[in-house]
Amino acid sequence: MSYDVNTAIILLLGSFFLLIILKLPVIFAMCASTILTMLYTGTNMMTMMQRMASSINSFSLLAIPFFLLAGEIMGAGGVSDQLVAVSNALVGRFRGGLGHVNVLASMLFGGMSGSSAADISSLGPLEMQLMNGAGYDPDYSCALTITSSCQGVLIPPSHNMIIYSMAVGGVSVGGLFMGGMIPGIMLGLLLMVANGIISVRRNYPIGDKVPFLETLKIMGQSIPALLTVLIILCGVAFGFFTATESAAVACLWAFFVSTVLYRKLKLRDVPYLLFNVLKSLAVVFGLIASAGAFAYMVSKLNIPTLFASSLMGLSDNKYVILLLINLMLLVLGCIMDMAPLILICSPILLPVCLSIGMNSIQFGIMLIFNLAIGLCTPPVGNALFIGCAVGKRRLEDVVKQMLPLYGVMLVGLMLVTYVPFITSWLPTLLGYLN
Amino acid sequence: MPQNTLPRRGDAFLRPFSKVINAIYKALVLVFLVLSVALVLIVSSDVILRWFGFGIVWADEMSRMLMIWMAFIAMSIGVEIGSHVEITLFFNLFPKKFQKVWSVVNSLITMAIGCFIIYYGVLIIGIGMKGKLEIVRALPKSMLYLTIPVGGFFIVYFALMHMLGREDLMPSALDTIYPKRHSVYVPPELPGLRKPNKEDTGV
Repeated sequence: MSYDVNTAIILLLGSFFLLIILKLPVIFAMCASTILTMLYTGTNMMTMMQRMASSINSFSLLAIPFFLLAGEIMGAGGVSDQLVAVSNALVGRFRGGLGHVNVLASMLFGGMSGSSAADISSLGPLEMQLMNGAGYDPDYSCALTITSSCQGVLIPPSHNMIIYSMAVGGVSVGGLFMGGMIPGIMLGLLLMVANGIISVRRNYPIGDKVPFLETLKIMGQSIPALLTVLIILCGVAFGFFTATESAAVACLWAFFVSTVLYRKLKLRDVPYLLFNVLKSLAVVFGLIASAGAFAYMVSKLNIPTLFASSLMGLSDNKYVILLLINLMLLVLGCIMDMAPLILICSPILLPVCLSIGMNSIQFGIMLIFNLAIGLCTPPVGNALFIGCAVGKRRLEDVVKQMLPLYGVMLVGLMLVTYVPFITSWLPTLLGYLN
Repeated sequence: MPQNTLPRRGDAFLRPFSKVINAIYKALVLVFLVLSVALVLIVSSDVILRWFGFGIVWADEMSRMLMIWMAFIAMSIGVEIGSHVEITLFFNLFPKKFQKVWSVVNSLITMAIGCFIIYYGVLIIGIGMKGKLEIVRALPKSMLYLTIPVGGFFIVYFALMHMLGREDLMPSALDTIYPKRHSVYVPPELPGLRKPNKEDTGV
C-alpha cells in the first residue's frame, strides 16, 4: 500500500462528518468523502460508479417502491378507516379504549406498509380526532399516535429491513420479516399496557361496546383489507414468492380492494400516489447508491475491524458492549434519520455483534427497533414532526406526554437486545436460521 | 408554474434555457410514472404466470434495469424539491453570514458531484457497450446505466438553479402530473410543519 491507512480513515470519516454538519445532504457528503479518499488512495474512480450502480442493481430492493406504493394505495383507498373500525370493534370496550384502538390499528396497518410516516398521515387524523373528541388530552393522543406508528417499521413488510439486508449484504429479507414480527407485536402490547395504566390514572373514558353481530359485520367488511397482510406474510413465510414479488402482488390486490371493493380510490388519483412514491424513492435510492460506494471504502480501509477491536478494548463483557452500542445508536438516532444510519452503521457494527454471539437477524431487528425510537425523539425525528403537524400540536407539549412511552419503548429495546428468543424463534422455526 | 414577471439578471439566457430543460424533465417524470406501473405489472404477472408454469424469463433483469434508471433520475428529483436528508441542527448555530456563504459552497459541491456522475456515467456506458446483459443477451450491458449521466445533468442543473436563487424558473414536477386537484390523501403540509429540509431545529 502506497498510502497511510490512518490518514485515509481520518480523511474519509472526517470529511464526511464535517460535510454533514455543514448541511450538505448526506448522500452528497458520502459521495464527496468517498471521492476524496479514493483520490488519496489512488483507487480507480470507475469503482465508485460501479459500486453506486451495482448497489441498486438488486431485485430485492425493488420491494421498496412496491411496498411504498401498496401503502400509498391503502392509505388513499379507505383501508385505514376500515382498520380503525375493526380495532374499535375488538378493543374499544376497555378502559382507555380509543388508545388501544390507536395502537391496534397501527399494528394492522404496519402489516401492510412499512413506514411510520404513512401510518401517521393516513391513520393519524382519524385516530386523533376520535381520541380528542372522547376527552383524551390532545397532546397525549398525538404522542400515542406517533409512538404506535413505530410498530410499522418492525412489523413486516418493512422497507428499512430491506435496506438493512442490502447494507450488510445478503441477510435474508424473509428471515428479517419473520424476526420483526414478534418484536413489533410485543411493542404494540407494551404500548397497550402503558395506555391502560395511563388511562386508569387519568380516568380516560371506556369506549362503547360494539354488539357482537355488528362486530362480525365490520370484520367481514375488512377481510379484503386484511387479506393484504395475509398475502405478504404467508407468501414470504412459506416461500410462495420472494418479498419483492409479494410486494408487487400486494400492490395489485390493494389497488383492486380500494377501487373495486371500497370504491374510495379514483383512477385519476393514481398518478399522485405514484409521484409520492417517486419522491420517497428519491431519498432512499440516492442514499443506497452513495452508501454502496461509501461502504466499499469503509471496508477497504478495515474500519469495522478497527472499531470492533477498540470497542472490545473498552470492555469484554458482552452485555456492556451491547449497551454501549445501543446508547450510541440512540444518540445518533436523535440527530439523524433512519435510512442513512442503517446504511452507515450496520456494516461497521454487525461484525462486533456477530463476534459476541448475536445473529445477523437479531442485530438487524435491534438496530431497527433502536432507530425507530430515534424516529420519535427530538431534535430530529420524522415521526414526531409529522405527528405534531397532523395533530396540530406543539412539539414540546407532545414530547412531555411521550416520556412514559419512551420508557416503554426502551423496555422493548432491552428485551430485543438481551433475549434472542424474541427475534430468533420465528425465523428458526421457518428455517431462515439454524 | 409561478412566473416571476420582474426582469432579473441573467433572464435573457436562463428563461429559454430553463424552459427547454424543464420540458425534458417533466417528460421524464411522466415517463417514469408510467414505467413504475409497468414495473408492478411485470413483476406481478411473472408471479401469476409462474403458477401456470411459464414465468417471464426477463422479468427480473428488466425490472432491475428500470429500477436503476429510476434511481438516478429520482436522485435529481431529491435535489429539485430539496428532500435529501440533511442535518440543519448544527448548521443553524453558525453565524448567518457563514450560512449564506456555505450554502453556495454546498451547491458547488453538489454540482461537482453531478459533473462526476455525468463524466463517469458516460465512461461506464462506454465500457458497458462491450458486455452483454445476463439474461437478455441481445442488449449491451450499458443499457443498465443509460440514465446515470441524465440524472447527473439534472443534479447539476437543479443545484445551479437553487444556488442562483431561481426557484421561480424550476418546474414543479407535481403540477405536471396533477394540476392542483388532489381529492385524496392530503399530504402532511399542515401548519407547524415547515418544508422537510428546514425543520431540523425541532421547535
